[in-house]
Amino acid sequence: MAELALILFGALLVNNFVLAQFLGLCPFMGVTKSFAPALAMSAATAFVLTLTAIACHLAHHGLLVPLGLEWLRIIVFIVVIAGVVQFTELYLRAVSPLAHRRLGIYLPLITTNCAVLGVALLTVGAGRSLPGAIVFAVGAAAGFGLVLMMFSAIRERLLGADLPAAFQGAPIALVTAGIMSLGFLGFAGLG
Amino acid sequence: MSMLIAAAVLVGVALLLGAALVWARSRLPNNESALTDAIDALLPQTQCAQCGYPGCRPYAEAVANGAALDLCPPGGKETIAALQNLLGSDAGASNRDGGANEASGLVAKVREPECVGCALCLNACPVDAIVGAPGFMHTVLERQCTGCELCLPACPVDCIDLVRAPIQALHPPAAAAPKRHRAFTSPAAADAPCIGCNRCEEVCPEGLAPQHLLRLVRAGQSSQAAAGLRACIECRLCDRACPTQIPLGGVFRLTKGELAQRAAKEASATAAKARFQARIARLAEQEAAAEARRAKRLGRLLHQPNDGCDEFRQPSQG
Repeated sequence: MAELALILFGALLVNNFVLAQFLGLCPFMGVTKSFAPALAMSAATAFVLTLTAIACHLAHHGLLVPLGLEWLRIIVFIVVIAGVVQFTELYLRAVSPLAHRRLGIYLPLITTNCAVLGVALLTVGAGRSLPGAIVFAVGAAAGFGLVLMMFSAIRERLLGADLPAAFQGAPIALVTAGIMSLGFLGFAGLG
Repeated sequence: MSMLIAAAVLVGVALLLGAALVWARSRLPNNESALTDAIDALLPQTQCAQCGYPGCRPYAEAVANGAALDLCPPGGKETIAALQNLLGSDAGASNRDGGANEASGLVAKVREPECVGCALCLNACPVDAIVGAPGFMHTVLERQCTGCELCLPACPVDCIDLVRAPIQALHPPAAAAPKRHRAFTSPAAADAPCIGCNRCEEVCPEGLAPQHLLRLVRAGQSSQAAAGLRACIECRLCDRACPTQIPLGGVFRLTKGELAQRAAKEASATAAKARFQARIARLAEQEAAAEARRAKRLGRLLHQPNDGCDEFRQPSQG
C-alpha cells in the first residue's frame, strides 16, 4: 500500500510529466488559453492515459513477452494508443459535441502526446505489476491535469495584466511555464 | 519465423482495435442537438433569414455542420467573434469581409396614413411584431421589432420605413456618462496607467479590488469583471485615493452601463426567439385545424346521400 502511494505521488508531483520530465508540452501550450478547454483536455488525456497503461501492460505481459517480441513494443503501443484515442473521440462526440468541437485537432493529437507513450514505456520498463501500472497512470494523469488547469488559470489572469507588447501571448506563457517548473523542482526531495 | 510472428501480432492487434471501434460507433448515440443549442443561443434571434436559412435555428444547425460563421448581418462582428470563441477560431473560414451591417438599432415604422390595410406585412413578420387586421391600418410594436427588414418588400405601397428605435432614446448611449465625472480629475487621466499602489483597494468600502477590475475592463474582459462591477456602489472613493487620478468610478459606471445594455439586448433576443417559436407553433396549429376541416367536409360530401355528388362516390356504395 505504501509502495502504491509512493508511486502515485511520485508520478503526480515529484516526477511530474509536464514540469519535471517535459513530456506532453504540445497540449500544455496549445489548449491552456482558457480554463474550460484545459479541463476537457485533462479529462480526455486522463481517460486515454489510464486505459492505454492497462492495455499496454496487458499486451506486453500477455502477448509480447511470451512470444519473445519485446523489441516490437513501441509499435504495438502506438497502435493501441491510436485505437484508444479514436474510441475517446467517438465517445466525446456522442456525449459532448461542444467539447469535441472546442478541442478540435488537439483531441486526435493525444495519439502523439509523448506523455501517453512515456507512461506506457516507463511502466513496462520499470517492471511494475498491474496495480502499480494503474496507479502510476492515474498519478501521471492527475499530475498532467493539475498542471494544465493551474497553467490555464494563470493564463486567464495574465489576460488582464499590464504587459509590455513584446511579452504578450506566447513569450509570457513560456516564462510562466519555466517559473512553474522551477516551483515543481521543490518536490524533488519528497521521493 | 520471428518476423512472421511479429507481423501476425501487429495485424492481429490492429484488427482487434478496428473491430472494437466499429462496434463502439454503432452503439454510441448521436447527440448533435447540444451543439446546435449552444450556437443558437449566440445568434441574435431576429429570424430575418438574411443568412439564406429560414431562421436562426436552421442557421445554427448549418453552422454545426460546418457552414460559414459570418452570414448573420444583424449579429455583426460581435456574433462572429462569439461563434469563433465557441467553436475555436479556425472553424468556418470566412468567405466575406464580416457582418455586413452592425446591429443597427433600427425598427420598422408604418406611415399610417398611407397604409391600405392589406395585411401582407403581418404574414411577413417572423416575430409577430405587427398588429392589425385586413382592411384596417397596421402598426409596428417597436419593443418587439427586431429590425430584420422582411416587411419592407412585402408592402405593396412602400409605406414602411426603418427609423431609430425610440426605446434607445430613453436610454442615451453610455458614452455620454463619463463627461460629467471628468471634472474630478484632469482630462488625460482617464487613460493613465495604473501603478498598482493598491490604495483604491484599501479605501473601497465594499472590499473590492478596483485596480484589478480596471485592468479587466481595459483589457476588454469586462464580462469577467461583471460580478465585481455589480457590487460597486459608485461611491467614487477610489477616484480620490488614486495618485494618478484615474477616474475609476467613472470607468466602472460606464462599463456597468455597457453591460446593462448588453443584458437588455440579450433579453429582447430571448423574447423574440420565444415569439418566433410561438408563431411557428401557431401556424402549424392553424394548418392542422384547416386540414381537419377539409377532411371533415370531404367526409360529409362522400357519405351524405342525395347531395348531387354521386360521381365522387365509390361504386360499391352506389
